Amino acid sequence: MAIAIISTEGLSHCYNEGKENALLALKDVGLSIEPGEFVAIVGANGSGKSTLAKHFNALLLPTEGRVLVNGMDTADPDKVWEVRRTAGMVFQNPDNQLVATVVEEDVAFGPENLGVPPAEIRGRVGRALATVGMEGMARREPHLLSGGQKQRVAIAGILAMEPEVIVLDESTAMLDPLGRGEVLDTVTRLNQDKGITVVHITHYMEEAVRADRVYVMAAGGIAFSGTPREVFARVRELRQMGLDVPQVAELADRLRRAGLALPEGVLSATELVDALCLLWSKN
Amino acid sequence: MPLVVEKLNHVYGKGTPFETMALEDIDLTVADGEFLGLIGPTGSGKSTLIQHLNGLLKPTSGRVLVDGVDLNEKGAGREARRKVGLVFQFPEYQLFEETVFADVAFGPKNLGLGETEIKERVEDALTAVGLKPRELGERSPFALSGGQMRRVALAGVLAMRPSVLVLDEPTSGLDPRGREEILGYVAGLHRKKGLTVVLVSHNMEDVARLVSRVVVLQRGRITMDGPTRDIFQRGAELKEIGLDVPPVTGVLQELAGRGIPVATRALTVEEAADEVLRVMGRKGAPSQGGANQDDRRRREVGRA
Repeated sequence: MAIAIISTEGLSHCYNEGKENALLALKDVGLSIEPGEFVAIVGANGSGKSTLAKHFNALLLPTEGRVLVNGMDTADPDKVWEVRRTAGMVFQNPDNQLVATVVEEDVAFGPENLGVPPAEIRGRVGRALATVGMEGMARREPHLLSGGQKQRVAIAGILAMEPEVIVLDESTAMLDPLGRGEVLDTVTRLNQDKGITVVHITHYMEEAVRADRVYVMAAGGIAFSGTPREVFARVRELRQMGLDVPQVAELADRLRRAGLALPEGVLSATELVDALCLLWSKN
Repeated sequence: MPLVVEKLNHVYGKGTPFETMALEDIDLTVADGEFLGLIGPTGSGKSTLIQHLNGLLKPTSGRVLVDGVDLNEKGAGREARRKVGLVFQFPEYQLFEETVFADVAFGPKNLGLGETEIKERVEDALTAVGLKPRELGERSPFALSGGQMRRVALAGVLAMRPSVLVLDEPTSGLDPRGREEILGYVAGLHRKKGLTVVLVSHNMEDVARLVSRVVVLQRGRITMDGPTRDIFQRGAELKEIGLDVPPVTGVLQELAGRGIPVATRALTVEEAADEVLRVMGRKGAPSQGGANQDDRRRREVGRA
């Protein structure tokens, strides 16, 4: 097994610890993400998925256990900046994470803070904007962009810091299907072409289908994990947890339970249509 | 009385270099008690259109009538605008009061109603969206979950007692449970109180199971208008403009394309399963011919 880029050991997190309104949001979470993986973390509201994500770049620190990012303990105060450079985070709301009045200045913000020399910054900003398909928009004002474009600028800002991991903390939740497609296509490309590890926190199940591996969270812990095919075969469990199952997977599950000889873990419309056509030709 | 849009045109930035025709010759009548779905790709004019439905925008030409009254008429127009309740995207960002009760009471208070009437309206509105006034009324709206906050915002609109409810992407950003709750309560209001509902959504599964009629907007024009089942038969045309049919409808349409004699009108997982099983000839499978007695099943959502 390759060395993990992100791992957690016995991670627990309690908000307002010791107070009356203490809330145990994560309970003994152990996971391991390898370099170059595309991992989706799904779960209903309040399952702890966003709390978990915020541990990946030291925005939150464990109450118990530890989190390692590229071998660095996120609780080590000397490593915080290096941890944040390694794992960049894109947040949910496209309207409150852009800081500058011009797109290219916003993208330059991160590397400037890292003390990267100006000539190098220029190169990085240009490359980052080209990577997310926003090179023609460098001089635009961020507030005039669409939601999907704003999120791509936010991703470019992280790319300019040359991270190894991009964590999307429900970054598609506020976008329309077009914007969601733009963001997902962008990170899929970064994952495949540049080998950047992607951790995508979402409650859109059809987005999780794109991942190599899916973690399903419930009540502050990992309920189960596996390939999308393995995870979405567990239709009834997912439903009980208040999660959606892609419609096609649910249809396949129903047909199989009614006696049709379909393979398990059908995810896409094409797969289901092929399988049904095969059955039809045999009859 | 219906909601009528007549020859509506809307131009943004008229007389400037940025002049854009946002809406062109819109004619639309929404009948009393109808549940209408408005779909269209991003930038097609959906938000512009619904802002006309309660007079937030003034037509460049044409008019909007509620109960026969032009919304832009002086005096009477103000009263008419009140009959249309508009719920924006992410309405929870517009909550501002210190308590849930005060937030929902804000609109009725501005109407100058008496305290008893206000209290009754607030309690009714909160109850209608499944929030207990006694339990939550004195809480801060900001201490609630995302789904609950959105329902408080919806209650604020309902407390104005509108006869038409217009919802812009009411479920975006919510998890499945939050989505079911919101849509369930909206469907309940439609069914029990006869509220007319206009739903703007990108989620074709939700549109398919809830609305009886779909209007498609494209580049500021209405390009399709008809019963939900008919509109979703036009999969190729919808895909061309960046829209889609519900995934299971797509499966049936593809099966039919490959020569398997399935009917392609199913809109939900249940209907699609019934239809496939009917054709694949399994014994014991329910074969009620989905498309006929479906509408009852489609409305199961929100049957509390």
